[in-house]
Amino acid sequence: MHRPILLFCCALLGLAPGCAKRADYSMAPPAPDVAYDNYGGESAPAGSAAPASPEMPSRSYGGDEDYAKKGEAMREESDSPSMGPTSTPTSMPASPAPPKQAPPSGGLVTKSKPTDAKEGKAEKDDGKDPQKQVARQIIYTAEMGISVFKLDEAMERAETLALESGGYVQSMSLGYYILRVPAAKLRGVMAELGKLGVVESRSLQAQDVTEEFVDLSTRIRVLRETQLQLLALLKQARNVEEALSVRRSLDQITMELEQAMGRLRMLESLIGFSTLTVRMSQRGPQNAIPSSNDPFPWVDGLGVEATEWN
Amino acid sequence: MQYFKQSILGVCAAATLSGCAAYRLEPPPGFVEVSSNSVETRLKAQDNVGINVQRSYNNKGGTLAYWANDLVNKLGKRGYVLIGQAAVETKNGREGTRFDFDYTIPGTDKPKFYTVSLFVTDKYKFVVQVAGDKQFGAAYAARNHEILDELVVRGCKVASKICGSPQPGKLQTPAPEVIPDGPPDIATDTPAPASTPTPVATPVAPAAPTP
Repeated sequence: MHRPILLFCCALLGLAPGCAKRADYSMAPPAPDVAYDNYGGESAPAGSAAPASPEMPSRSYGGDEDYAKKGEAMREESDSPSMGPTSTPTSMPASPAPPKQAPPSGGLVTKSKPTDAKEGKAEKDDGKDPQKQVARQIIYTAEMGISVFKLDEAMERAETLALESGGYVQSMSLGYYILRVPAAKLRGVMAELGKLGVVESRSLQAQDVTEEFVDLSTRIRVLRETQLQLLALLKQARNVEEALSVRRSLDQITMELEQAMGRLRMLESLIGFSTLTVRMSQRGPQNAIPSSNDPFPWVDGLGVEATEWN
Repeated sequence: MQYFKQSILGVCAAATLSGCAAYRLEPPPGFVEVSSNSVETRLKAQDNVGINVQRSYNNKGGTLAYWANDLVNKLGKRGYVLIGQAAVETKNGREGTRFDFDYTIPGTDKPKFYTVSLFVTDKYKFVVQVAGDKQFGAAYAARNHEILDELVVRGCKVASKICGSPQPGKLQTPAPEVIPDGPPDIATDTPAPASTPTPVATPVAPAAPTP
């Protein structure tokens, strides 16, 4: 009579978080989202219903140092070349590391300290402050419309300005530039560009990607740990079938890890280097004076430029 | 009777074809017409001095003095310097005002002369512009009456107050507003890198730029 109840209780215990470790070693591929941070007080994503295992606790974003140290450690332990944290993507230029300096003026995001004792060592890297601080990660995108007297020279100057600021030219055509400039120097570059002629339009958008950045960083950390665990399991495999099963899970985790790292690198590039679109037009007698609310613009079409022949 | 009707029709047709143009400018000696339409005529001399006649509609109440002020004020803000002002007359006796300017195109060191004669009728306002290198300014200033003698303008009503409006007072150009916005000296001491480098992988803290 009591036997079914006893079995039911055992089944419930088997689903409890305390059994997660055992479940991990059962060679089942772990859910990729199990360790999504509950960042900013929001609920975890839909795919994160499974509780985190003790080996994969939910942690807050510890900054790049933690990120780098974990990567180094993993590189030493791992035999797989594709798991290195510094593997360079093939589809985009080398991206700058995310900001490590003082947090920008955008404000701070705080995260509660995790409770897992095993994380104590990692926590030391992040400082003694119980409230972790994560700098806001903001992507700046700016546009400028400038009318200039000498289009060719102004375009050369715009390119030089971008290069001198440590940026580069993403694309260009006649009178049209897409420049990538370090975010910290965006304002200065825009001011210098404005001196080339008359600024007819200017805009700047800021996109806060802190949440995605933190989520990705956490996801990468958890995926790496899962990867290490699977590697350990792979070494313990007793036969080919077990090894193949672990290998499949490892491949899936590796693929997810690479995708997340690629996205993070792209975010880092967009955050570190602002995108500045510059449109230049030749100034002539028609627009020698910036547009105004003059009801009689008949004089704008008059002048030496409209009369003499070169 | 039949011959009389045909003659009347012929005279009307000729008057329509020849007399309805708002203005007409025969090329002065030394000039060749480059283009011409109902609102603009452009002529060119061998020394690249150009004549540009433009016609635009007059607004109700717009007098010679009003538009002369508008013209001098706006050209002055663009860096033109008024050096002379005089009353002039077209071939058909319409009175206007001639303004002589000195001008240097921003970003260059080539001085130019620029003469603009303004005529205002009830329906239109006309400007006759002559411009070229400063060295030819004196010669063409002396020929200005010769150029205007080839111009015919229309648009005056009978007993018009606009066409008979008085000459503007002595005008002065204001301080220029656009010159400081001219192209700066773009020569830099530091040579530009030979090629576009890829961004260095140094951490960059995103600042908070403001437009």
